[in-house]
Amino acid sequence: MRQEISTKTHVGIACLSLFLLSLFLTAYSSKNPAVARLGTTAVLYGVAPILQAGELVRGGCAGLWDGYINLIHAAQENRELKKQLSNAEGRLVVSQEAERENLRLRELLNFSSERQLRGVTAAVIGGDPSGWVKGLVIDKGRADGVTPGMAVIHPQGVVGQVVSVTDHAARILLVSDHASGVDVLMQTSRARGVIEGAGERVCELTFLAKDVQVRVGEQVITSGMDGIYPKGLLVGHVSQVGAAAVGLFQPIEVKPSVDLSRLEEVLVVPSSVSDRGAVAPNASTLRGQGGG
Amino acid sequence: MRYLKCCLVAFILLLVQSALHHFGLPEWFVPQGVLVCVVFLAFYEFSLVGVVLAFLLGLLLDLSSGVLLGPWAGAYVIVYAMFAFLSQRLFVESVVVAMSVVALATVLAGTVFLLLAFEYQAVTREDMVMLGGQAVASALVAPFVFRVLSRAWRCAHVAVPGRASVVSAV
Repeated sequence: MRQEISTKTHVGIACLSLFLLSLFLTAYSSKNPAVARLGTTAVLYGVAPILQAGELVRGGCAGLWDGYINLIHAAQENRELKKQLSNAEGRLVVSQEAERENLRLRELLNFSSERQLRGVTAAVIGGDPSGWVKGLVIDKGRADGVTPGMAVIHPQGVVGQVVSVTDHAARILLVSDHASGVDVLMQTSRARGVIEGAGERVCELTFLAKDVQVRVGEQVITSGMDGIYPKGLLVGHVSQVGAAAVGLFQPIEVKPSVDLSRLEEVLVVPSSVSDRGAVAPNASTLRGQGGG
Repeated sequence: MRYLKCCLVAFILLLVQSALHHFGLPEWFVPQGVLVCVVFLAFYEFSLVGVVLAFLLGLLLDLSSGVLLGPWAGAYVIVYAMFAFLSQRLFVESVVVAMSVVALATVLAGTVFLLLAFEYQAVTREDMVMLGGQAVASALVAPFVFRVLSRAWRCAHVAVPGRASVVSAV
C-alpha cells in the first residue's frame, strides 16, 4: 500500500516536472527557433529514407489499383479480352502518369526559365505527422544544394520555405502555417504587408494600412524584402476584406494561389539575398536563361 | 525490451502519420498513432519509465514538426498523467472503452497543444474540426495499436496491473 502511494507520488512529481520542462522548452524554442531545429534534422535523417521508400511503394500501388479498376470494367464488357485490356490499360495509366509528371516538370522548368530562377525540382514525399503544423518533406537535401531558408515555389505561386535539411531530404514550412511570414505587395496599390498563415486554406494579410484600397480578388505578390522569396511571385488572392473598427491596419484574408494539399513537385530556389549560383548542378537542377 | 518495442511501434506510427497526408488523407483525419501509444502506456505502465516515455514520444513529434519544441511533449505528459491516474478506476480491455478513451485523449492532447502554442497559433474553426476528426481517426486505430502493444507487454511476462476487479467507469 505504502509502495503504491510512493509510486503515485513519484509519477505525479515526474509528470509535473516534465510538464514544466516542456513549458520551458516551448517558451525557449519560440524565442530561439534554431533550438527547435537542432533535433529536427536528426529525426529527418531517420524518417526521410523510409518516406522515400514509401513513395516508391505508393507509386506502384496507385498503378496497380488503377489497373485493377480498369480490369473490372473490361471484364464486364468482354471476358476474353479482359487480361489484354487490363494490361493495356495498366500501361496506359503508367504512361499517362508519366505524361502528367512530364507536363508538371515542364511547367516548373518553363516557370524557372521565365523567371530566370535557378533551383532544384523536388518531389513531395511526406507531411507533418501531427497535422497541426503545416509542413511537407521533400526528396532533395543538402547534396542537391538545398539549405535552410531557401524558398519553395510552384508555377502557381509561393509554397513555403525550407526549415531543416539532411543529405537527401528537407522539411518545408508552408505559407499557411501560423509560424510562416512572407513580406508582400498588393499588386495594384503596391502597398506592403505581411502574409501570415491562418490555417489550411487561408492566410492573413497583416500590417496593411487602413487607408489602402483593397478589393476582393486582387493579387498579392512577394516583395522580395524578406530576403527569402524572390520578388514578384504570386502568393494568393484577396478573398475577404474586413472592416477594422479600431487600430491602424485592416484585416484581410488571402487565399493562397497554390493548392497546398495537392502538391507533388516543387521548385526550391535560393533565398533572394543569397548567391543563386550556390545550388549544386545535377540532373534535377533547373537553370534559367539568365541563371540569376 | 517492451519499452523498445513500444518506441519502435510509435516510430512506425509516426512514419505512417507522415505518409498518410501524402496518400491523400486530409490532415484533420490523420490518426494520432503516437498518442495511442501514450494512452496505452498510461494504462499499462504506471511508472516513472512510462512518464519519461510519454514525454520523449511527445518530443519526437515536436522534432518531426520542427517549429516548436515542447508543446506535444507537454500535451502527452498531461494525457499520460490524467489517464494513468484514471487507470486506477478504469480498465480498457473492452474495444469500445479503449476507443472512447483514445478519442478523449486526442481531444485533450490537441487542446493542451493549442494552449501551449497559443502565443504563436490562433485557434480557428478548422482546429475544432481537426480535434474532432483526429479523435475519430485515432479511436479507429486504437484497438489495433493496443493489441500490438499488449502482445509486447504479455511477452515480457509483465502482469497487467490488476484492474479487472476494479469497477469499470463505463
